[in-house]
Amino acid sequence: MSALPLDAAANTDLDAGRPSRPGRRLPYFLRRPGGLFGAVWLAFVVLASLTAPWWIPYGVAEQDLSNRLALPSADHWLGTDPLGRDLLSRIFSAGAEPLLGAGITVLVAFGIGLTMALIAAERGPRVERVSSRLAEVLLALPSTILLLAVIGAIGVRIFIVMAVLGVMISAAVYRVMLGVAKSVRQRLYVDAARVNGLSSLRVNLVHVLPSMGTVVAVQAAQLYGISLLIVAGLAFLGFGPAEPQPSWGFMIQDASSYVFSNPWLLVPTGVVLALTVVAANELADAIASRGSVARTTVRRRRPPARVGATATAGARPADPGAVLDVRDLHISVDDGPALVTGVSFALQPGRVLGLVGESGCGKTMTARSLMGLLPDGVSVSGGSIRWQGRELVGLSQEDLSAVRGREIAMISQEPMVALDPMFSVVYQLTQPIRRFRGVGRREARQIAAQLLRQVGIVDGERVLKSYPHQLSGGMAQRVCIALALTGEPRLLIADEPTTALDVTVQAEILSLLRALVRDTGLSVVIVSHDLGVVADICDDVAVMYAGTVVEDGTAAAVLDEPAHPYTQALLAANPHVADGEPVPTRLASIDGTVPPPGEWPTGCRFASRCLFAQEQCTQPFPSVPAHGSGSVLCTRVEELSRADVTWTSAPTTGPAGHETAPAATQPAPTVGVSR
Amino acid sequence: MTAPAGATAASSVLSTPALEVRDLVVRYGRGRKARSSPPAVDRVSFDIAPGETLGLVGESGSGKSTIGKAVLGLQPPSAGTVRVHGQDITGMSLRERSRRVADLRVVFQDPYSSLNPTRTIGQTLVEPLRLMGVSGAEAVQKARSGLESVGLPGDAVDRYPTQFSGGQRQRIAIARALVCDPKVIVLDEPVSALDLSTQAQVLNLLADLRDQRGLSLLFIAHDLGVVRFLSQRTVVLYRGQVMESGPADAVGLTPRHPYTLALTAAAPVPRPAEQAARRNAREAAGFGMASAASPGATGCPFVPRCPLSTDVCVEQRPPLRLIDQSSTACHHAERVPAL
Repeated sequence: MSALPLDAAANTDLDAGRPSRPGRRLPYFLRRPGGLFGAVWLAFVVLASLTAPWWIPYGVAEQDLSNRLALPSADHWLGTDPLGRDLLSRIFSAGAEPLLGAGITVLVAFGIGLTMALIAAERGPRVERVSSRLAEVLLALPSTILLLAVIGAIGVRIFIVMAVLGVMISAAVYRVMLGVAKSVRQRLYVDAARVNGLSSLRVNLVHVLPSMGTVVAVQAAQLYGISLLIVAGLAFLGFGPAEPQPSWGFMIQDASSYVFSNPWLLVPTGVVLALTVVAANELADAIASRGSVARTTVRRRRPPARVGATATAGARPADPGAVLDVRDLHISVDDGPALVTGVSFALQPGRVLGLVGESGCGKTMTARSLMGLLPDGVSVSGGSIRWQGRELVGLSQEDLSAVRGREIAMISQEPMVALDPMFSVVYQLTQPIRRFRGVGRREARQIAAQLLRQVGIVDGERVLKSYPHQLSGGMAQRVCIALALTGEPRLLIADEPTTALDVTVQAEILSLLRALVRDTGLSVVIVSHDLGVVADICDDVAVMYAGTVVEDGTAAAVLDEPAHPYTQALLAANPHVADGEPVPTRLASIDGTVPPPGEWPTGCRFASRCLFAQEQCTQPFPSVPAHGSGSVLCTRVEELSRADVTWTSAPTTGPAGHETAPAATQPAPTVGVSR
Repeated sequence: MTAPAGATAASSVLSTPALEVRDLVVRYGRGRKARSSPPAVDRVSFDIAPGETLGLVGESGSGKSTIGKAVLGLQPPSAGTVRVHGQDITGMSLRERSRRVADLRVVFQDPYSSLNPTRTIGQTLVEPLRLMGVSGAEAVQKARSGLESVGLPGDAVDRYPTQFSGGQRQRIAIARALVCDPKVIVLDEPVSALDLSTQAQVLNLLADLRDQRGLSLLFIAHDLGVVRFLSQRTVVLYRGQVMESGPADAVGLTPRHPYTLALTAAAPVPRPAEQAARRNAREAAGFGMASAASPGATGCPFVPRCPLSTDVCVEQRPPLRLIDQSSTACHHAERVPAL
């Protein structure tokens, strides 16, 4: 139950930017067969039971003694019972009570449990402590005994009994809903509504409750099924309507004494009860399935993209001195759009290469493909990755795992997520050390302590004994780097290694990486959106935009003399001014956003946002050599450099070719581009 | 804390500050344990003049977001006062605040969780207006013009948050703050979740809106460069205490506190040669490792990391004192090296 998706917000990354019109289509849970069956069956049973007095063919007590225990026939569609009474009539006459009774239980349980949860989540720990104790008391009561005691006191008044059951179950509902409500209340829109001065009732009704809708629906549907079984169970024990009034539980009890001589008797009532309970659960499952529905629709949202729309392929010959040589790499979603096209770069031993760009430009996908760690449903669809002369594309998982960790290691953006919270640092370090280096426990511990010294941790012994939550972010990233070094790799892939860290800690981690490169001759591929980080640590840089490299070369050349308009624009948008320069009153900005995969235009993908875009930019063109060993993917680069125009010196007119803008919904920002 | 010097002091004679925070203390938790641990915010004071932007900068755990929450009333302060246009709102409930002083609003960091995914943009924008007694039709009209003022089409009112990118959502969040025509907006890391080019768009937009409408902004950020772009004055926080405060350029260019220097020196610039020089200077300065720092109960919280610290720093918490244009809480402010 813990894996339930909270609501649409939990899946925003899946359909972000994708117009998901809440139109008049079927609700998502009715689009699944289980959900459709559940809803239709429940609707049918409820309707048929409530209207039973008007349509049943026989009275519930009407006996036909010549036709006792009959099998289905034209007269009695579902057969008859030991007194010759019509089963169809009796089943649906009996239906209203359990169906309504279970409904009462659900209403009472949620009325109390959900309300209490919302109040406790809002009022904080003090109220929560009181209400949670109350819930514990309720949970500690033996509910079956209590129910029987209630029946003993007030008689078989089933709706009241079911309401009492609802009160007892409300404690369990409260428990589940409290956790959900607390997590929804942490969302910033709730705070924003409170700052706006909304009353607490409105905050709960408008902002908290709708986001809990899925969980509430799932829980309610499940509880409904359980309550139905309890009503039937009580009737089975004799706590139901008195004969000749029918009840599902008693009919089953009656049938059980004929189970060997007339097994059919059990079937109609049993099937209706079972189907109704199953229907409630199927409906719950379908409601809970929201996450997986969204995922499947994302998978097949686009036809396969045209590979090689931009012709960077073969622009440069393979580099003989490189340890890592990536040629014309294509990565795409299976049966979906391309995420990366025609990416080529080479990495010399002992150098640091930066892959830089905004989010959604394919830099993380490129980095992950080097280790064969692409997410499910995404794969390399073309090109080659040669590691020390060996082709990695197409290697089996076993062959790749021989390379992974031993030759190529990785550190990620979130050090706290990369470490397992359940295990101590020493365990997490010695396990791979023993596997990679084939040493014993004691020696592995010594190596672990030495690795921690190598990553600049002074009190290594204390850190070894710690668990991840006891470490600060910077310390955890150092441990992650030590972990990456356990296999003595020759290449380290660092995906935004300092983005989650404070700026002073970032400087320390970058210094550490630089020292490692200097001392061990390690090569590093670093993914970053921060041009300052790139300037600090990278020897070479490849600027990526919409799945392709638009400019590459040495870091000094690319950052000091950017040739591509996108690189120029990124640098101009950086608010960090050089020492001694005045702070600009406006920052240069780029209109619009990066077009998502599958919506890349032919020709230059930056054209729709570029100040210098012209007709020729919409046609495919090859990249041209620049910065010595590097390249630039801009068809107007010569022209622009001759005219000495850069992004910041450009006229303030809006970008040309706005008709090629990725989405028609894209507004033209009010902000200009002048400085 | 002494009143800030220069232009601000002059203008605050003319008018009461838009926002005035005095000796704010915030402790999390309850009971003896909370009282014995250092507070999240420790005696912080500052003023924001009408039309002025104050940058609140510091690393994680510096208490900057807590100050924002205390100002907004989302976190009750343990001591101190918060005044908006001279009116004390410290103990007021959020509901009371919105009825009596409708001029304090907020823009949060995360553009994804700051908009309710189940409500249209129009519903989100109209909500606070209706609460202020604006009629339905007029509220929708205001919502449309609010969206247009942040560079979005007015017909976005009928759409849902998922249909917008991060930068667009942040514009919507700004529009939500603006529709009520507030005087003071608290901006809690409004651009740190955005890409560089989008960040520049949003920063330009904020600067424009501030200048057009004479807004006072409390701009909370971890990035000194971003703060310097938007703010006239900067307050630097470390472990809940004010380390330095003064004109943004003075704090950015001539830090008077070693912590400000550490922050400035650590922020990388995208020019390799200059960055290499800065890096060498930073490494030569000899700052202690950030992760090993756990200060004593008395004295300056920055002691474990400070290359200038002496015995007096361990024993006495330095008071804020005015040097040139900045107030700084450092016994050795005169010895802080230039950048």
